[in-house]
Amino acid sequence: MSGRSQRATSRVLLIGPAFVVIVVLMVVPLALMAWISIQERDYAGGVVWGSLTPDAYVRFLFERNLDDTVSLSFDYLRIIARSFWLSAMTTAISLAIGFPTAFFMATRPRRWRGVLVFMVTLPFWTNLLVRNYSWILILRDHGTINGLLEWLGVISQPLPLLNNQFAVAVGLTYSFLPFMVLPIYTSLEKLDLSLVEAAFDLYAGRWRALRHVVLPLSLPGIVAGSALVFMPCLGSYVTPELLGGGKTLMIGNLIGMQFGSARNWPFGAALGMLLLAILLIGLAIYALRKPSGEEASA
Amino acid sequence: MRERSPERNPQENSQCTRTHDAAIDIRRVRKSFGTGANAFVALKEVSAAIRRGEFFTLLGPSGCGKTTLLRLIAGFDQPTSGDILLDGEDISQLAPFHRPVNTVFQNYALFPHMSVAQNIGFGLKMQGKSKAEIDDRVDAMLTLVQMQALKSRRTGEISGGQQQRVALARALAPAPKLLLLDEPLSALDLKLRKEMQIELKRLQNETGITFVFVTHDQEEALTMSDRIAVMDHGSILQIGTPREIYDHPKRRFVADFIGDINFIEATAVTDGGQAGARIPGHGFVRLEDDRTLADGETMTLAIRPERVEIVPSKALDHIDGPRNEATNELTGKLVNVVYHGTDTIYHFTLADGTVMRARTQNNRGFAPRFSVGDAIGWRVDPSAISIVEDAAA
Repeated sequence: MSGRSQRATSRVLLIGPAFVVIVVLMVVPLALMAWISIQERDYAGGVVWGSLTPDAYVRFLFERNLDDTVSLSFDYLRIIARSFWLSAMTTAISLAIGFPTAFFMATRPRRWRGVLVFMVTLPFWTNLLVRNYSWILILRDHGTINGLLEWLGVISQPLPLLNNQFAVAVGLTYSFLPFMVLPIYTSLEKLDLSLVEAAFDLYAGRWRALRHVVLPLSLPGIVAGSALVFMPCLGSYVTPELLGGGKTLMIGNLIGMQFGSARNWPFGAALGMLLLAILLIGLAIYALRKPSGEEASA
Repeated sequence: MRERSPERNPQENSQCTRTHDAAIDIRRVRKSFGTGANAFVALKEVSAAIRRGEFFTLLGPSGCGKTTLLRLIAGFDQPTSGDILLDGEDISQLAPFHRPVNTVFQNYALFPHMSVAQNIGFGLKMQGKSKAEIDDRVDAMLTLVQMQALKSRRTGEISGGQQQRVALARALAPAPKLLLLDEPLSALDLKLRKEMQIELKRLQNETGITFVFVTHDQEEALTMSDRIAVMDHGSILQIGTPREIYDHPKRRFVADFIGDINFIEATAVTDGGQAGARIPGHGFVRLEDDRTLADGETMTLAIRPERVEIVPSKALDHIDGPRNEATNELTGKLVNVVYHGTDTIYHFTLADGTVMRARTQNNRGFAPRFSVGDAIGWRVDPSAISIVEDAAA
């Protein structure tokens, strides 16, 4: 046996499992989804195999009326816009909360940082469903917040905290905040604090030191954190389902609905493909952008 | 909370010379980190007056408090007690960005996301200067440190010596009243360090800015400074010109830290108004130190090896008597001769076993006149003997 073929064997053995996992769990389902999205729907559920039609994609913008005419409809577009809006809000709120948190963590003595990182990841030890149900208890009409405010005499009628976009935004922020904190923490921990002192020394106050030195240098963490929050938000299912009260649909819920009660698999698959395409385009733009973090000129 | 001593009497401290042209007046500054039993006192009541336009060096081993003092002047830390006056104005509580003081950091701390020119212009931009003004000043600074060709480079793309120049230009660009330099040359190799020493002196002459320079390198301190403050364990032990520090050290630590030196335990003799010392087992040496001595007081004498002259012992049969005022000559036994190229070091012992060193220049070639085991005589000029205090600060 030559060493060369032995090396080839070990290479196949090493790559093999990962290759199989990716093909079986990613490529095959994706191909299946793409295929389903261009099939004709079977009203009993599932699809009529082999019947190619762009119906599912057309349905996204156009509505087929009873008399078989087609007219423009923005209902689905509105759900997608709302998904984007809620995801963007969640990302912005997570950034506003996550950056100071990460900065605080990164500037603690080294022996405390591990504990703090552990505390940030603590919610992950509980099931997502359970955590979202807890928010129902906190936000509902006679829940923790309304109860407390009524007891204090601040309000006489419960505030509408649940079953709206606000509740969904709170739930999403709560769920995904750690994904914002951790990458920013990682980039801030690497930041040389003498650079901040240098900025102070050169007449930059606290805000300007933050804007001109800390923010540009932690930009990779901010971008990574934002992507890690925004993308799962866009496809989230559980949180809008539980906290949105069925009124605040997001793409995830819409897709779930197509495979469930609406029995329109091709449309569900088409929506999934659309979501994937949007995210891939976003990632491609980020990956291909000019690799520079140069500060805007004076 | 800052603790302040209620009564303030600068005269109490001998090192607090209140000069009118002081750019920086450090008054009884104390700094401790932590509280209670864990408190670490980094500076104990340090006072110093740094003159305008001066190249002032804080010299000491690591952990002596020199960097702490620099950080207090820069404003990165606040003193536990005491004041720091800049041009007569107390700045000890001002934020660093409100002090007309700039720093060259030990690791340079250049902004990695900016170009060389942007780094140099940063302070001016933060001061709200106009774009034209910034550009002019940055160009002037680039010329000053000879870095025009690399102005658009990122700081990660230039060498250590070039980074050093950029750090200097960046700190000088806003024309501070005071430039602080925290061991700026320690990361450079020897050749570059020598170059930058000359460069720094040139920059100081051209800009006329007061420099406060921190180093642990005694040679660097001696060659560059107008005055040196030698520090140890959170105190300034002595402030003086390089000459004063080298030739007339007042503390054993100062004498030992800078250059090579011999220490001899001796007893003071003040007979007949003539200051002198008796060395155990030997005779009397005359002193020129202006210190007032009590008869019989024990003291430590410090003598630089290059000020000790070795002479044949034959001629010295008369010495080691009760008095030898004329020549200041004593005897010893040669134990080692070490050739060092430019000079030769003779090791010899005194009667009590103290090992002494004498350094002779080989300016006439190396021809050992004495051999190991010989009884020799040695001679020292009274002006070359310093009385040093043993006690720690």
